[in-house]
Amino acid sequence: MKCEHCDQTATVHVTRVAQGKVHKVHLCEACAQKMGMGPSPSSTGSGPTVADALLGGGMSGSVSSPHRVRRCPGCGLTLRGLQKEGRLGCAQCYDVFGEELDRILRSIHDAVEHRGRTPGEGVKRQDLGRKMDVLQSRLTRAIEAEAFEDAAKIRDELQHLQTTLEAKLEENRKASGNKEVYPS
Amino acid sequence: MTLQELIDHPCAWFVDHACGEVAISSRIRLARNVAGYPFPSRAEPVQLREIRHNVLRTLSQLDLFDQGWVSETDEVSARDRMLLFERSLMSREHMENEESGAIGVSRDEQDVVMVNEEDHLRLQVVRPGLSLESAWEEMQTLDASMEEHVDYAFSSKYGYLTCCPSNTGTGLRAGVMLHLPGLALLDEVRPVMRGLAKMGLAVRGPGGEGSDADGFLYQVSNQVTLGRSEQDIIGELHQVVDELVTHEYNARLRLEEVRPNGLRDKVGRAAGILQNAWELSSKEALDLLAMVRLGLAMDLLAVEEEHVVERLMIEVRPAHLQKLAGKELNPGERDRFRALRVRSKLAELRKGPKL
Repeated sequence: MKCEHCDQTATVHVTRVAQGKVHKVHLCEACAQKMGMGPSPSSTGSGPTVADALLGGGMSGSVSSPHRVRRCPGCGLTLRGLQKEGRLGCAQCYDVFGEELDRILRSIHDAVEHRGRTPGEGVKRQDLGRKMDVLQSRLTRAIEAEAFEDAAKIRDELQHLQTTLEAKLEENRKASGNKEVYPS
Repeated sequence: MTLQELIDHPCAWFVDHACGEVAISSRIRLARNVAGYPFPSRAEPVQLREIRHNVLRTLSQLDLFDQGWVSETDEVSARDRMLLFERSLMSREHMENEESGAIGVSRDEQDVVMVNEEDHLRLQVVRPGLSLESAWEEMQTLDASMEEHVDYAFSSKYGYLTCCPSNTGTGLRAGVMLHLPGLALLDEVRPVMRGLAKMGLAVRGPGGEGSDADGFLYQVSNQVTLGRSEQDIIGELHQVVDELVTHEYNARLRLEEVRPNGLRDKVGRAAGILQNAWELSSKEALDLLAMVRLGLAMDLLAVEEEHVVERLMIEVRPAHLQKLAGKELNPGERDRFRALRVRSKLAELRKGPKL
């Protein structure tokens, strides 16, 4: 019998119960080790590994179908790559592989939604930056079309955003200047 | 500050807790990535260098690191990287990755930024003793100062986006290093660990994943990073660690009751070997020093110099030992030099009031 993840002979046979269904998994020793199912001491004791979750995911439905190669446009990671490595390649992977990822996250964290700290100014700055990009391209288009009245309005709006952004940065600098960052 | 100046200090986070305390240090780590770049494993070298350049510029603007030590990883020798790893200032992964990495360490070694590890940024705050809350306070300041200069990859659904789904969300790993010789002598560490695993906590040796528990040092940390707030994760860990600490003290009391002679024999032999050995391996030295530390905490042994045992527990590690010797030593030479160092440092070790 061949390993389900490569062409080696399967020597590790694992019976798993996931969502009330029994799955048999056949793996070669190397793949089993990678998935935390081998006899290595590090695979014992702790909760479900990423690979466990991926494998659970790969066993059901269309995700393991060789006919659909889904690839992240941001970094080129394929679903197969994700299943093999258990690692994401970039922020965009989170959108591209959302469905599989939710399954993985649920098995590790028993949750799929963040409840903690959120970035403060950093993200607001990114939002402002994005808005400014959009306005900048609208401005270019307006000038090209010789719609100068529109262009003036857009330019004012851009200037307003620029001032806001600078004020925010200044505020941050002041706030961090007041903080005693280095305890004596 | 040079690396030499940095390591000339005693390792504050390891040494500055109350003598013999069970909880040696508390560590908070945040995984962060820079928006607009692939994660390190899929980024081009030129992108990684760009990130490194930007982060190093940021670090130079923060007093904390400007007064500390900042370096590109490839400028640090393999032995010095090992030394940083032994001091928990560098992860194993970061130690082994020479390309495009960088590290910033504050003067007191309590704040660390690792660049281009598994994620673009790993922020670490370590505090002596059981002080998760104050470490978290400090971490929020560090995180906010970094964020002023770096835009983090974040999604409103998933939180902070990390390379490994096991860090997604808060990106938070909170851990406490515990010294559990009492439980170990009673063979009770394993069942305790199984219990912790069931609660979703990980227990490892001090060097992180896959490392042995030499010297009866264990690191207990959270596994869940998503769906819960940082405060909840830290609060729960604190509660469990509190119980573990009580458990360890109870184990020591039981040892005194049930096996008073066995305990004295172990502690006495450890002191005897350390004071007289001419060759000591790293593991043997750590295990015996752990017994001496237990003996000091239980008044079976006494010594003038405060924290001498804790300092030795860092100094006997291979890279530290070679730094002390000022030259490369082969394993045999290391064992002899280690024994010499321990003998001279523990010459004043004597019987305590309860022996």
